[in-house]
Amino acid sequence: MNSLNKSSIRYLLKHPWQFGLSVLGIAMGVAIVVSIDIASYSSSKAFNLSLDAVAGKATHQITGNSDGIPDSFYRSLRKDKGIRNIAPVIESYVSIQDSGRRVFKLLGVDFFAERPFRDYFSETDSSAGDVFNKLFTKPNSIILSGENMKKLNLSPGDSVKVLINGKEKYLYIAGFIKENDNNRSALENLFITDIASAQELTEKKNNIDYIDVIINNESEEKIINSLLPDGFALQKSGSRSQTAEQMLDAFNINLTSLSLLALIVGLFLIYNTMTFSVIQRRILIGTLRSIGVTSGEISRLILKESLIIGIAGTIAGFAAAYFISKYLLIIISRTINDLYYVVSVREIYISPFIIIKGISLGVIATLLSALKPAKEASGVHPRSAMIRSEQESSIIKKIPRMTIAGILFIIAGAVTLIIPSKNIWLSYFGILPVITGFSLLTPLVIIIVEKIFSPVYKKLFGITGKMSSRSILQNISRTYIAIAALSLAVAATVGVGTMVSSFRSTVIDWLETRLNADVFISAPSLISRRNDAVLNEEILDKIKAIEEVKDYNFYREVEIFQDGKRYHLLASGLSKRSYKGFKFKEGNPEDAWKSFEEGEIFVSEPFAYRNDLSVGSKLVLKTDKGMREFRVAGVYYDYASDQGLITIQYRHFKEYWNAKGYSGISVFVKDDKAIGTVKDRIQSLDTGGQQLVVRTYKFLRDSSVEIFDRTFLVANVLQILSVIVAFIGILSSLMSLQLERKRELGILRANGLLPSQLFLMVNLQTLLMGLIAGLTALPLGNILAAILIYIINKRSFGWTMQFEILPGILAEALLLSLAAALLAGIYPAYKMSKTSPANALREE
Amino acid sequence: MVELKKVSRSFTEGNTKHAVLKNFDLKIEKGEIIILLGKSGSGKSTLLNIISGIDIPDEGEVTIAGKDITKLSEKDRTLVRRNKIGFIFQFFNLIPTLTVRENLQLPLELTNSDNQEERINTILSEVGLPERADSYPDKLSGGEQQRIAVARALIHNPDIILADEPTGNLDYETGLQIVDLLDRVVKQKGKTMIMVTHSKDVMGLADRVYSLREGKLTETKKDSVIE
Ligand SMILES: Nc1ncnc2c1ncn2[C@@H]1O[C@H](COP(=O)(O)OP(=O)(O)OP(=O)(O)O)[C@@H](O)[C@H]1O
Ligand SMILES: [Mg+2]
Repeated sequence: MNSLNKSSIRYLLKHPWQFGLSVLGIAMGVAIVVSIDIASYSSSKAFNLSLDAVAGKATHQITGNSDGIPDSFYRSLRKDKGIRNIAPVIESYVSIQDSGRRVFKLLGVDFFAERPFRDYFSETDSSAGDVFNKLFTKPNSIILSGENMKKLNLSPGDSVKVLINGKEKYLYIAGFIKENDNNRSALENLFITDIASAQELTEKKNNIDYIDVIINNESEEKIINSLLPDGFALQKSGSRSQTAEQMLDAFNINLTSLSLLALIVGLFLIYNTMTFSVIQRRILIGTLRSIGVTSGEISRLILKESLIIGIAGTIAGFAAAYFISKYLLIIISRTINDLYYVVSVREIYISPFIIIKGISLGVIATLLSALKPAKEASGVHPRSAMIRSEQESSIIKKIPRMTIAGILFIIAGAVTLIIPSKNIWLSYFGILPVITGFSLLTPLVIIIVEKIFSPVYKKLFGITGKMSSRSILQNISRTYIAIAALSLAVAATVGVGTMVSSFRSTVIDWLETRLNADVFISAPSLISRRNDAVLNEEILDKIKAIEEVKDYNFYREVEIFQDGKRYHLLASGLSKRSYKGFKFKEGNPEDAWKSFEEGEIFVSEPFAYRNDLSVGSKLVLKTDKGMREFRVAGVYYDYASDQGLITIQYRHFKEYWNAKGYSGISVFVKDDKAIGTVKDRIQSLDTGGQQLVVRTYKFLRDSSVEIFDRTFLVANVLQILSVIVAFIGILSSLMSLQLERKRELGILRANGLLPSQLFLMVNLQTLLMGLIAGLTALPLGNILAAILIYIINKRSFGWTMQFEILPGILAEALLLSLAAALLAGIYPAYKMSKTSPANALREE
Repeated sequence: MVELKKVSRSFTEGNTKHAVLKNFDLKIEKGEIIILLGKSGSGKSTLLNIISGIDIPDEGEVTIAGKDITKLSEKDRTLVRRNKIGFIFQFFNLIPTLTVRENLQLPLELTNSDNQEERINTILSEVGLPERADSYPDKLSGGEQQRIAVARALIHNPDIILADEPTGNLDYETGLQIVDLLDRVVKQKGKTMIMVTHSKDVMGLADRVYSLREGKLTETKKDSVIE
């Protein structure tokens, strides 16, 4: 090792705090981005695995009408038409009340037709023959994985109480399947039963959900297609999982926004760290230059160092990401289960792309961000590098130029952002120049704030105060970076916070207008935001008959799979009273309702956005009677589904679809005081074993808000993480800043400044820095929020949200940056006030 | 005024320990001017640091104006330094973030002195730099910085002045000015001063001359040095 390298390594080791914090800053940046990636990748991977497990080796699926496929059709395909590679499937969800409401997928299959499709039965225990015997002879028998059986504390021969579509049933354990590496993830969440038991359990009399098919060539496909009646379709197996993945995509967009924000904060911190470590050594570098080291050698030295820091940070970051992602995964999979489907995510999956992204962030970004400071340091004339004030005054000279550049950057970002486009990446790309622009404005803000505060500080704290505010300006090359980094991190939290709260209050407003009945009735649903269970039609008659009921609404929700897309159709039997619950974005309400009653449809705002629809456009839907065209009569505001909804009047729905039952019923009560009575009456109705969930307006509103909050829990967690990152960043900058002033502070001590005065001085300074950061963070944070609300969310979901600036969030942000700065200052201040002046003075 | 008894100070670097001051005694009366000689590295700066309370001896007592500062708390030790001692450092040690005027104001503020403006202006003209009052230290030449450092050590009228090679960085002429200034302030006001120097011109000021060698002090005849 030559002595230059030695000196560089020793420099790092001699400043363990700075070295450690640099590594930590990079590690945190990498950890956040990587852990979000891992968590969202793992959840979609788990989801795909479970879909694959259910789909097995099927290449295609035959889907039927809104109420499924009659099993007679399946039998005629198999027996009469001689099509062999087909298997019937029923899918449903069951929950076990006694085990913390764990939810399993119930898969009903025909074991004789199964072999070619799903082969995990080969691993049933030794007495396999007996197991199958039981499956066929004993009703409601299931098999499950050995692991699940152990977890549920069951053994073969036991029975277990479950809830299926809101009805209590008993399942009988016929046997279990031994796990191996191939079937483990497939069996994770699965109960398997015979198709006849499944029909009985789910009350799908003589119907099945779909038929799995293996097709080897086009002629087979043609034959099958020719045999399908209207409303039936032959679809590629992947297309179901694709539509499911589209749902997940929407969810991931939010995560991506967050991780990109974290990435930008991370990048900024890395830049901050590297710039600092170079700037601090200007004198050292100047000395090296004056004894004949070339500028190229200096650059290489600094890049080598940043490589070491980058690699160390990346390794630590990946390690941390492993733990953070485990935690995120719990939250994310809960949200997914709330909103979309039931999946349990336990394994952590990592893709090459995640690794590459993490490494590029940690190593390459570190190198890139060291490039500019390295070039600058090596470019200066050796003597002037040693004169500190020259370096600072060169920044001061640059301020007008930086300010102009900042404004130009902001304009460039704004232009990028307002380019009309659905491309979400373009929007993300536009955020970067806006943020950079704001950072470039920081020095100007520092000058202004210093001008204002210097006299105040002087008055309040004497020369100590003046020195502390002055030295922010005098060390502006360093302080501005630290302040800009803190400001960005705080702005990110303001942005996310304001976005979430704006969204939240928009949703609450909407809920309050939409939920305009008094009591709401549905079947217990395993996925909170969607009613997958159905109430039978007599229940409505019984409810109507209750004396205190003035009026009622009901609806039926069906999913339509068509052209690789999944549509949600709501057939509503709305009373006129509830019309006012719909707010139209497009369309005159009066005309819209008139056309609606005549059979035209409404689409929700996200649906219109995704499918480029507006009032008057035509939408073709796959009905049970074949493809039919519908005219859009209105576009309404709706926040229930990011995928969007189609609404049709129930009467017209019945013309085209066979689906029976209602997904939900709501009633108006004659007298508000009778709400409780009506609720009780409904609850005590004889429903033939059907459990009802009866909720009052207030309860439903509150629980909907609760689900909303749970969805954004992950945003909060990430917000906290990015505050931690910012805190580490600011801690390391402030620490470097103060440690660098060791000698100066030592002189002050030698001249009789008390340790307590020194402590005060350092803290006054960091406090002022926190204030500057907080002040710049407020406008930037609100701009970020506006970008998230008006551009990112609008472009990803088509949602219109009311922008709402909450004074609380702003005050919090200000406090946050003050607290972060203060906390970050306390240690260095303490350390400096404890250092013996003699040591401080010797230091160079 | 200043009394050191059995003072020892050693430094450890890695595994090696080397003693700089060994079992050291020194007594200086009020109004005395002491000159300290010694090779580079012999421990002169260390000795001044110990007297000023910037550094603490491993063993022994250091009595300043009747108080053993080694027994004091860090705060009280600092207060003794603040009020009683003016230190001219070997390497100026001006505060880079304060202008010349503010550097001079600092000790006045710390000691709550009155007439600050006036005293600053007076001392600035005494050191011959009234026109540099608003410059930052690193814009000054080495000699100019040293003159400001001297001014800063004297401005709050301390009883004891410690000067670590105050003329070391100066040309002959300027060096004489500084010596002259110290002579005026110290001698005439009856201050106590301990000065490290190799400049023969200064020897004339001294009441006693000591040399520091291998951790011990020996008194040297003034005349023998001047020879
Ligand atoms: N904090 C310290 N750590 C380690 N060694 C020290 C420390 N302070 C002083 N020394 C050592 O003590 C010895 C005396 O140092 P000091 O600065 O007192 O010398 P000096 O007589 O003032 O020299 P010069 O004439 O060069 O200024 C030197 O060998 C120095 O290396
Ligand atoms: Mg010395």
